[in-house]
Amino acid sequence: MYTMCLPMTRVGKLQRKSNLRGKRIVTVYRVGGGVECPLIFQDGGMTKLFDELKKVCTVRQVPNSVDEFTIEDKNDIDDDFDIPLATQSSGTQRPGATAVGAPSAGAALRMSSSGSTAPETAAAGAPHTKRRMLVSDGAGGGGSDDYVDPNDFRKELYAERPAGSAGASSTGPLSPSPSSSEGSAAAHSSGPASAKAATPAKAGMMKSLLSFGANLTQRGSKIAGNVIHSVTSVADDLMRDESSGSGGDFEVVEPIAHVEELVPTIAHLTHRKAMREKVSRVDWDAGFAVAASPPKEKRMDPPAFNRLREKAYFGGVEDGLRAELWAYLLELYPVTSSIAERDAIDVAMQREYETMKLQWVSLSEEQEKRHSGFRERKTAIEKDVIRTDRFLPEFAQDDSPKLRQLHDCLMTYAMYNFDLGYCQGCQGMSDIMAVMALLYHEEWKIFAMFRQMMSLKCEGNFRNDVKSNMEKQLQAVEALVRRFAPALHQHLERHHAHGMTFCFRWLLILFKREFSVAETMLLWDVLISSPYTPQFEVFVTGALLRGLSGQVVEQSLTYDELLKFANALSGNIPVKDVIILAQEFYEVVTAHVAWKERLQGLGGGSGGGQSAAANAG
Amino acid sequence: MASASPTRAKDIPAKIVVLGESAVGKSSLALRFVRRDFIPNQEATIGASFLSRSVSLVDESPPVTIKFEIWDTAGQERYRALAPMYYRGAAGALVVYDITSADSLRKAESWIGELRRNADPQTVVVLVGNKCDLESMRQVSIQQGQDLAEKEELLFYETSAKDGTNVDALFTNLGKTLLSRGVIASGVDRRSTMSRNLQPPGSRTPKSEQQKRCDC
Repeated sequence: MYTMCLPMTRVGKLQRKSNLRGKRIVTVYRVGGGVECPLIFQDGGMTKLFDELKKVCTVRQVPNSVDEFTIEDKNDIDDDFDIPLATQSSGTQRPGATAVGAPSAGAALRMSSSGSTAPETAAAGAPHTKRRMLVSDGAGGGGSDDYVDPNDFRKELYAERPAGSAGASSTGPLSPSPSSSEGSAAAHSSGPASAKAATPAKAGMMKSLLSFGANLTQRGSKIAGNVIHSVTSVADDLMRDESSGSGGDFEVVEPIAHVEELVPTIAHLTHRKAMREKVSRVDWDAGFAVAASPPKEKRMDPPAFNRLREKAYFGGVEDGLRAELWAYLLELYPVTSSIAERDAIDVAMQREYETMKLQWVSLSEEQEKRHSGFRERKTAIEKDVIRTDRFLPEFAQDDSPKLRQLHDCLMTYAMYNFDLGYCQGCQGMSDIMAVMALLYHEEWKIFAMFRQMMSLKCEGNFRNDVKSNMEKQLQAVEALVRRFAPALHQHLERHHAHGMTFCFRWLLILFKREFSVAETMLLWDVLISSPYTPQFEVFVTGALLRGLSGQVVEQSLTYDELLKFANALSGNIPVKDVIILAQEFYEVVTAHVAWKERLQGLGGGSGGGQSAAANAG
Repeated sequence: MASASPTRAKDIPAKIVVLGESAVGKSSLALRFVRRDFIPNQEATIGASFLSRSVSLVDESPPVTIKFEIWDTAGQERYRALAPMYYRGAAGALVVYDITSADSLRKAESWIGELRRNADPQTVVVLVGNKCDLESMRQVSIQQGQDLAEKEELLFYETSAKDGTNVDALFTNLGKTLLSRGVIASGVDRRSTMSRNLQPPGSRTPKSEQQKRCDC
């Protein structure tokens, strides 16, 4: 038995289906996207739920879909509306379990602690039990003994990297991009984080509540949030088939696809926004025009550059401009450099490249015989180059010039960064190099841009140590999932998958295998221009997982199925949707952090000190 | 047989891990078996991938269907630390080398050693010499492979993921061996087939335990 409490104003859509074992499931989609933990009906009751819902709002079947229903006309529901569904329940119900009071006027964010929800928390009207933590927004007044330390979560996200890790990776994913100059700090203050910071307070305006219990089992019922709080006493046998006597239209459910054919989809992308405009050649040229220096020097105006950077984050970059803009974004050229200075950089880079290349090209057979480290790298590179993106016309032929460039650049990088360079843990580097090889013509430039990309974004991930930067990123992803997709997190924990290793490939090569080359480039536009965080990929991963959590939990994917599912992302989700989802998710996270810090400020617990804005700006 | 046939109730799951040096054809072997397909220049596996296929063994009595759940691991050294996660609790392990690379045989030996030390002693290990279509480039003779297999008491096959030689035979015989040695069982208690005392992350948690966990 379990009681669920959620404001109807937050419910956008319900979807019913069956899981693999034939259990009836209702998925609750929030208004504007997002999905709650699915409700699993062990013993009938779905019809009853819909009947009760129809009394308080309009439940309308979505055209062409027998299993989807929109929830409408709910704004005039009384604040404390309760549906005493629990009275219909079987014997496992506890008296009083439905005595769910409306949350206090102030917004309350309730989360259960790490233990799973237990029967004794059934007194949902008394959320101050030891098992719950409560953060209360002002007026309502929460039990201070249950106060959540807002720093806990922030610490996880702001985790400092050990000194010595390369470039951008010295900061946590929420820390500001080291490459963002003073100008972009200004851009940040008008950015999405601050704009949305007050959003959670709206939770205080919740109009009404729906509570129902009985006959439901909720897997992953760990979250309460201010949206749902749940009380569970799980039925004795999860495997028991539903004794569906209640009949009615709502119990007729189409069989659903088997896990084997499960295609990752993000179902609630119903209000799809379009990405904003791309940075165009005209925008770019205008950036040079406003510079105070003589026009013939072609220096970029830093404030203009920061605006373009933000534009690239929200819209991407025009294909014809990408090569040029990336050279700035990846700091090959200083923003304020003149055309003469950039030419000088080019000349120096080219010379440096030729020198390093000569080092391995000129190695004699006798030298090679006596240089196992070199042989090892050479063999690994040869093995991987011939199987990198061969389906693309540029790399298809064995003697494709691009394939040769790929090989030579990787060899030269191995000489440049011998300790890291392509020995035993660098599979994936060829994937990144391939993107650069497709974008740039000159070999030295492919190399130079790859080197910048590595040092700014990827190098830490390739260290030959499983406990490397990658581990930290996976932990950051887990922290995000734990807070923002708790049902999924609980599911992953149950399947020992909360180490998030199934996301390894996504992060290692920045989703390059999950999208086409054109899509990858668009995503990378966003990743490398992100003015807000140097590790936007962590939020992309978090957003994807949150978006897919309904499927994962509903289908009860096991560890192995998860890996298969994660790898099947490839080609199934349009990259623009992913980008928008991730940017929205980033706003949610930063708003959440800012809100909690504000609460902490109100509560006088200012020990944590810095605000998110101060830290991020 | 459909490559992605849904699990039927009587399918016996058998977790198989594929190990071996980088680029010996681990993914190709798995793909050949599961999808009856060969992709030249199959891209390097990053992390691991998972594939499955059910195969009916009609000459068993009674006939049984084994669902091979194949964990295809990345060959690079970096991932070696992750390998125990995959081979623990595996019913079978394919240790793959490339017949055109003597180095890869040495790597196979070291994998066998690691399995001896750390894997479940019941795990059935198969030594697989892949790329046997590349006869002209052969560096490892059949005899060398056989000798190693005999010494270590392993099943042995030379295969070609490219033309399909021996791939089905390999899995069919592995399945039969698993049954005859009782590593997997067609009996009622399916749980004993994989877990024993080892409950790897990849395996299904018995539902009764799952139940306990979310109730606590």
